[in-house]
Amino acid sequence: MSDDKRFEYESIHDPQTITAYLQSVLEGIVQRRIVLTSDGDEIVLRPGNLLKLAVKAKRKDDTSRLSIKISWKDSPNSESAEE
Amino acid sequence: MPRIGVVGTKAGWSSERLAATIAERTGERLLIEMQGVSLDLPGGSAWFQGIDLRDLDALIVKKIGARYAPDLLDRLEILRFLHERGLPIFSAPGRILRVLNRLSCTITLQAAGVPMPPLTITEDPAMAQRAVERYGAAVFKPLFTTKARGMRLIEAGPAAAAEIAEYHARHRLMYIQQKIELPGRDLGVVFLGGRYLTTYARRIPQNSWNSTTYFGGRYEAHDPSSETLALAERAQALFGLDFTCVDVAETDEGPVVFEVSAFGGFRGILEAREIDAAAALADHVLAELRR
Repeated sequence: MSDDKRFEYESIHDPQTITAYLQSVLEGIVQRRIVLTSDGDEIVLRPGNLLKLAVKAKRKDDTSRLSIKISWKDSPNSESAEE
Repeated sequence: MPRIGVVGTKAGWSSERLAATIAERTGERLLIEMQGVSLDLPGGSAWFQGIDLRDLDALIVKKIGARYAPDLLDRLEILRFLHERGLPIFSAPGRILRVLNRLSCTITLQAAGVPMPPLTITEDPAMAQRAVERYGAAVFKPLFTTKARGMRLIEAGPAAAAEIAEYHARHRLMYIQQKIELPGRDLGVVFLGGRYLTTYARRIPQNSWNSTTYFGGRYEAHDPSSETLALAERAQALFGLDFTCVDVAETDEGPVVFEVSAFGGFRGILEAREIDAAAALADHVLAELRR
């Protein structure tokens, strides 16, 4: 069985709710353990010492988009992302 | 011991838990992923990893794919064939079909007079724009979706027409629901075999610092009003599912139903109420088979 695991979530919220989500993700980066759950799906990520950060912002017609991508290589002896 | 297969997704929390629970009771663990099933017609054998599903005593459908899509209807048709040839399936595939399609579920609820948020269903962008103006703000919902993926919020105003046109290019039939103010949470009211089991709430996140991010809200215990309970009971009874979760919001104007779901997850029930829904469903199925 593959170790690949993915989690997706998409919704519409007010800025306060989105701030709350981002703050808890930030807290996970600080603690080096990010747990994302949504209605039965869960993924646990363990950010390492060096993370790659990519930021993209775009405005076209009446639609704006901000994407923040944080990626890293899991070290081979780190615990499995699946719990 | 009966041989019972669980139709679900590998690594899915609820599917794996149900398969493990069945294994404890019957000695056989069989988690069936529908993409691995083939149906031979007209003979009617249905194979999964060398097992003819007709040799089983029952199937429990926990989930039929990781994402909601028209493909899932095709998979249900395979199960419907087995069911019509006499294999007990919980819930019956024909009944799952009626809730899986958002439109079919909505029409059944509305025809029975179940209160839902105001709704417009149209293929006409001009009618969609009128609905948005009337509602002030509306959520455009894809007909097949899970956990709000692909939903679009469109507010009345000068940009609405362009936003509607963009959405309409991808979704010909538009399902447009008035955006209603939620009281900080919405409820999952759960029924087993048509009888009330429990209720949990998904609380919309506050600014709490916590290293777990509960997208879509955190599960909490909640005891619904008798009015909410009666409404949820009436809504689920229209579909006759063995296990179902009715999504309800308690608004100032009384409770409204968003949808009836055939694949409610077990985790919220366990976290909020400490009730093992997998065990309850397994026991329900075993009792039904003994009848």
